[in-house]
Amino acid sequence: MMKIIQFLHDNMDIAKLLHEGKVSLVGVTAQEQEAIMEAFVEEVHADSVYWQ
Amino acid sequence: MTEWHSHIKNHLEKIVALENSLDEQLVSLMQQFIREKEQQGFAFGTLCVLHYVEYVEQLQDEIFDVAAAIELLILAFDIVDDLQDGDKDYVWMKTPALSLNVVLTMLTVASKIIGASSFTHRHEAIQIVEQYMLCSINGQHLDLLNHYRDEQAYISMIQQKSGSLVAMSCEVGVVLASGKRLQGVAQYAQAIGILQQIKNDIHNVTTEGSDLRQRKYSLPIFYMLTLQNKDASMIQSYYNGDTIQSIEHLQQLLVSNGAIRYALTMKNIYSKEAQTLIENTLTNDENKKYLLKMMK
Repeated sequence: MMKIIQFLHDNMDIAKLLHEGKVSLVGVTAQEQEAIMEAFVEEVHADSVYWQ
Repeated sequence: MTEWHSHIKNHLEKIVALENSLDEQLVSLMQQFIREKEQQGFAFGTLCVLHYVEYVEQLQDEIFDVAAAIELLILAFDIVDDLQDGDKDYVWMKTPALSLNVVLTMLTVASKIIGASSFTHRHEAIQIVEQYMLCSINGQHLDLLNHYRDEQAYISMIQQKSGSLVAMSCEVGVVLASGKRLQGVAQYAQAIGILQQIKNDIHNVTTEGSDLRQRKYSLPIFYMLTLQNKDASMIQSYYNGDTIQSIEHLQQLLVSNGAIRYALTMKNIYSKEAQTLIENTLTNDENKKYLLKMMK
């Protein structure tokens, strides 16, 4: 899971496509993929709370 | 379920008032600590009642004595944790020696209340309490040692430390109602405990940062240590004892490298695992709704 998050973090364009449902991740369950996508949305919120 | 809060509070007050052989000052301290705890709610006692009503047709008032006993146990563990960390501002921090005595009193009273109840399966309930309390104490010990150096060991530690206390609260309710232990309940309770601890860790490293100051390991740190870049080397050096520019700088590195995002992902995975297990284990929609809301 760490490697997947690192990959998406370095390739935000793919993270965006994932969020739009245009690509999917190989080797993770549908539930895990949902968990990843939610984390990318959640952190936008966390950024605004903690860092701006 | 909101009315359960006041029931648990009333039963807590009753339990303490019944201990008339204790010194007035000891009782007074216990009452003060309970009032402070009340501000955080009685989530663990509520879990006990919820799991009891899931498996019985009629709610028995005595379950609130047990829920109050569960809250005393949790409060005792919280106080010990705060005294060991030494970084909180609760009333029990003002008198550590006396507070430890209150903790011992709470543990004894809680055990006595469950054992003296009229529930058929009270002895099984006590066995569950003892099993999970030992597990949580062990987890707390591992946390204090701060020796865990990989994610698996860390998850095992928080499962023991936090998951056990959630599982204890849920399973006591189930066993008093049915005499059974349900694997599904134990599994989702442990997952809830883990995800709540991950949430606490994220909150800590992104706000006050005391875990970072104490060089405690948690998911964002394990993530950083797998990276091959300058930021990761800086964090590795800091965790090996070197100084760092500032805690705020460290916090920024965790965000900018995706470490917080990783911890949030893991929190979400445990949340989804718990949701599935809750859906498959419980039948009462109100109970399911309460648990799902609690995880948010």
